[in-house]
Parts: sequence; C-alpha cells; structure tokens
Amino acid sequence: MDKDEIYRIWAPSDAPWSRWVKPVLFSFMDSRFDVPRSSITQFKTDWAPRPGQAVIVVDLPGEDGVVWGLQLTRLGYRPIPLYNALPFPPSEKMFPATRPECTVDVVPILTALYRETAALKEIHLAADAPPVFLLDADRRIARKDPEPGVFDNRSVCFSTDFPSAEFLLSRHVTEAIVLQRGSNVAGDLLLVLLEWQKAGIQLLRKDPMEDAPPKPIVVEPPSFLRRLWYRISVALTLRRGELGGFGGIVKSASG
Amino acid sequence: MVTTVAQTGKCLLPFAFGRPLAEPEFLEVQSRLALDCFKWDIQIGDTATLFRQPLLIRPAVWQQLAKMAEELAAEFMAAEKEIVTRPELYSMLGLSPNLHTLLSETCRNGADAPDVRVLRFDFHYTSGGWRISEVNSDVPGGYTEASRFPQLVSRFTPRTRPCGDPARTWTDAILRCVGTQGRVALLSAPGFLEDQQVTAFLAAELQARGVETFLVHGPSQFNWQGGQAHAVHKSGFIPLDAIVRFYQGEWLLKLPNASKWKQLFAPGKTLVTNPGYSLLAESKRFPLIWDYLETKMTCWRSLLPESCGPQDNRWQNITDKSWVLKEAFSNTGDSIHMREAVSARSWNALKRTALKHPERWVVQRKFEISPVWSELGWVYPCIGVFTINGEAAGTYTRVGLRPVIDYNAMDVALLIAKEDSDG
Repeated sequence: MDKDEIYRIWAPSDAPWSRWVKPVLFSFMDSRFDVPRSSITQFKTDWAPRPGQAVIVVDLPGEDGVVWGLQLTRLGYRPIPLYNALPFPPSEKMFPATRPECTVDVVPILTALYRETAALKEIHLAADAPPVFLLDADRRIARKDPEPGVFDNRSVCFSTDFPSAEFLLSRHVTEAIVLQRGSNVAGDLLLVLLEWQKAGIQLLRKDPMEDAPPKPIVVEPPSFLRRLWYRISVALTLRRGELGGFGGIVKSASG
Repeated sequence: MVTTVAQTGKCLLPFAFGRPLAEPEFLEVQSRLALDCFKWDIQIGDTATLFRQPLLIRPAVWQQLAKMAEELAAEFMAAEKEIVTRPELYSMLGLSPNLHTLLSETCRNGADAPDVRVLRFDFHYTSGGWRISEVNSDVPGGYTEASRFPQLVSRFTPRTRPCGDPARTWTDAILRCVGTQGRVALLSAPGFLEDQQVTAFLAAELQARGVETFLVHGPSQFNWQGGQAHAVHKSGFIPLDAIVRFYQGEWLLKLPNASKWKQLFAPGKTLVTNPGYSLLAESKRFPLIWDYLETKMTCWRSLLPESCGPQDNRWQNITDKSWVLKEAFSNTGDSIHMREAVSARSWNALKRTALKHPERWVVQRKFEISPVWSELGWVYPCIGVFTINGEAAGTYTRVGLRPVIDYNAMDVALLIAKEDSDG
C-alpha cells in the first residue's frame, strides 16, 4: 500500500469525522522504517459504551494510542489520529542511520499506524461511526533535552485540532471519555475539555490499567496560583522538557 | 470564456469564483497538498481550510496588483532603511526597549548586507477600490498555499494559470546567495506544526535543488563561532550559509538570553532571512512615523486606511463604529477589535487598555470589504501578494465568512483566467 491508500483507509472521504485526521504522519509513510509487532496484548474494552452518544479521547503514550484505538474500532468507533509531530526531519526519510535523536519518540506511532492499516481496512465501520481521537501522551515531554543536534519534535494539541462543542452537540454527542493513565489531564487537552464541558458535554475518565468503569470528572481552569507556580517552575527549569502546559506557549502560528 | 466581473451589491468586483472542483478532483488536490506538499492544517476546528472554488481574475487585474505591491515594497524597503538608522523612532513603533540598542548596532553594521527579503501585502477589494490592511514583513507564510495549491487547482480549471510560484522564486533567490552546494537551516518554534509545515516545505524545495537543509526548532540549537552559525549533526558541526527565520521576532524577544537568540539579530557570516530588523516595520504603528521619514510613502498613503494613535481624539466617540483597534505587534486577526463585534463595556475596557499603553496599539479607519458570492454564500477575500526582493511573485489568498481574516479563514487558489486574446 502506498501512502495515499493508507491515508484514505484512515480518513475515508465518506466519513464525517475523517476531516479531523492529521495528515502529518501519513506523509511519512513512504519513509524507510522497520515495523515491529505490537507490544500490547491485553485489552479490556467492556467499559466502553456501545457506539452512540459518546466520543473517546485516547491519550496514551507511543503506539499504545494506536493499538487501543484499533481495539475500540472493533467496537464500532472510528479512529481519528491527531498526532501533530514529525517523527524525524523529512530530509531523513530514506536514511534511518543518519536520523538525529528526537525529544519525543514518534517513530513507534508511525510504524503502529502503518502496521494496523491492514486490520483497519478489514473492519467495516458505519460511515458515521463515532470518533475515538488518538493522542500521544508523551507529546509535550522531552525525554532528551533539546540541545544542539537533537530534533525537537515536541507537540501540543489545540482546541482547533478537535471538532467544536457545537459540532459534537449537532451530532448528538453527550459525553466524552478520556482514556489515560493516572488522574491528571494534560494541560493542553484540559483546554479542549473545558470548552466541551462548558457546552454541556459530560466528561469521564478511564484508566486502562484499572478495572473500574469510567468515572465522571469535572475539569477546572488552572487557578492563578497553579499557573504562577507553573511559570516559576518553568523559570527555574524544573520543567525544562515540558511544552505548552497551562498556556505556556499557546499562541497563534506565524504570518 | 470565464466571466471575472461579478455584480454584488453596488460595485463591480474585479474577481469571481470559478466552478467548484468535483469531489474526486478536490480529494486529489487535498491529498497531494497534505501528503506531498506539507500542507498539514487542512482542517482547523470545524473549518476545512481548502476552498473548493478558485477565485478568478483577469490578467490586467493581476498586473495592477503586482504593480501596486512592487511600489509598496519599494517604499517600504526605503523607509525601513531610514528607520533602522534612526533609533529615536523605535519607541514610536512600539518596539520593546531592550531591543533598541541591539537593533541600532545591528543596523549600523548589517542593514546593507545581501539578503533575501520576502514581504506579503494583504489586499482587500472595497467599495472604494483596493486597500491594504497590513504588510507581513517579519515571517510571512503561505508558500504552499500560494505555490502548489493554485498549480493543482489550475489543472482542473481549464484556461487558467497561477499568478506565480513564490516558493520557486524564493528558492532561486536563496540559491543566488548560498549556491547549489549551500547549507541552510530553517528555524521555527517548537510545537507549532503550522509553522513547521512552512519550513518543511521550503526545506524540501531547497533539497530538490541540491541544498543541504536542517530543520531547527529553537535558536539555542545553533552553535555560533565567530559570527558563523553551525548546525550540529551526527557528522559534526556544519557551517551554515543561511538561516531561514520562520520564528516571529516578538516571540524571540521573550526567550532567555541563554538561548542566544540575539545572534540572529547581529550581523555575521551567516545570512539570516528575513533579517532581525524586519520586526521594526512589521509594527502596525508603522504609518504613525511616515511624517518623520524622507521617503514619500505615496502608494502606502493611497492604500492603507487612515491611522492614528490611541490618544488621538478622532476615534474616541463611543457611537463611532468606523474605527478598528489593533495591537502593534500581532499577525493574526485575533488582535483586531471592531466596535460592532463587542459590547460597549468590552469596547471601553479595550480603550482603557490602549490608552494605558498607547505605544502598543494603533487605531485604523475601518474599510468595507466587498463580499463575493460563493457556494458557501458571501465571503470576504484577502489577496496576499508576495514580493521577493521587491518583485511580485504570487499570492496567498484567503476568504473569511466574516470581514476579518483570522484562523477561521479558508485558503483559496487565485488563478488568472486566460482571455480570448491569449489563445
């Protein structure tokens, strides 16, 4: 399969949610890379509601997001990859040996999308199957300092990466389940969820490592003191590797 | 034959929309842009950013736009040369005081260095004819949308051609500076894919011509030795012939000194384009210093609406809705405020903010953009004409559903409709 076919399997033109699929990683599908087997074999998805009025946001690290997305696809949800990062500089597509080290390991996501394409193709989804949005939980965290020679491919998600609350409501969406480890919602995703919650969409959180069903949550804007502490901690380089938390650099793009 | 004059309201427009692309044609254009041309923001919120209808103009209209843009560019660059040598004007432009010394030293030593200078003038057609809202002189973007998008749409729109190919013209200009074996780094901010897609596209254009490129997401990633920037690669330190700066000047100012961002403003052995001093006249307060310049800003005066500082009495009446309040340094529509778009209370709060820091704001007479009919209803076009080293190179055209071009705007392929005499 070439990159066009792969892209259209993930973003079929007749599915109303396809237009939110981020094309970045699909433009790298003609790169040279190895495709390892999935490292995850255990899934419990009985907590997921039957496709209807819920959307799911999977915020899990690396390939986990893709693999969990495919499991939920088997229940009738449409996977919408929202990965916003370059896996390596485009000039290094054909030269794995000379690729620089990266702050975020995006290649496992690229290869997981490639690997799971064949499986996705075999799943017959309704055109209007509700979405499961896929994010990389490690997107903002530099596992390696962005020093000279390191490719800084950290990324953030913006509310404009998602459908608006008005659009969700127009499609009869009443709840959004966040599948993530732990209880802290990422700072950039928090801003998205706040808008949805404000419009009346019920938020729930589910930890894939726990048996408990999704729990309703109420997200709140970060307090002044919390924002202040965040800024101080950034200034003291305690969070040197973290990008875009609590509006840290959430600005409009250039010209 | 394509009709390029549409009747709308009271005025004749110099453009009209052509036939929308059929679904397979549109999908082909979208895929090529997203998968081959680094156009990764094809959806923003609920808005699909690629507009299905091309906007058509006659050759004479393009010639007129190109001529005006080149006159604006000539006046702009002459004015800029004056400004850089006159630090007393910097504060009038709203420039941060901590840049004054740096820029005045830079400009004394380096303003005449060989350069690749890109400007983009945003034209709007109004009931009074053509007007401009601003120049993007610091980090103008939209190369893919101005270069590859019109080419692709033109394939499906008979008897049309693009206005130009800014990406190719830009690449030619860079190659004249660095040579075919040159080494070029392209700098943008980390985390901003909309900026990284621009640098990735331009890098690919350079690579296709033999230039070695490096994508860099922060000034601290350069290694500087004696005014020469180096990229750090697995193979060692690579001396750079040029740095393409797609990192807004006002963002750089907010970085810690340890990031060595000031090197980008200092004259050195590595060409930086656009140069650091581009930030000066990017200020929306630029028209407020014209009376202090030798350069006659004739074309600018005829095309830019009347402007004044926040302390001026002309706009103070709360019932007067004919003014727009703009931040001095802002490059999206988000910092443009119109009286009718906000409550009286919000407007008064904005006024108080502007009067508290008048150096950060400008007030401009509003103009009425003529809408044009499309398959989405009435839309408001903005034709951004690129000039590269003073010559018109093509257009980045957008339309908004409101008369403000912001992040909700859609990209349009502007095409020249061939006339019968073109054969």
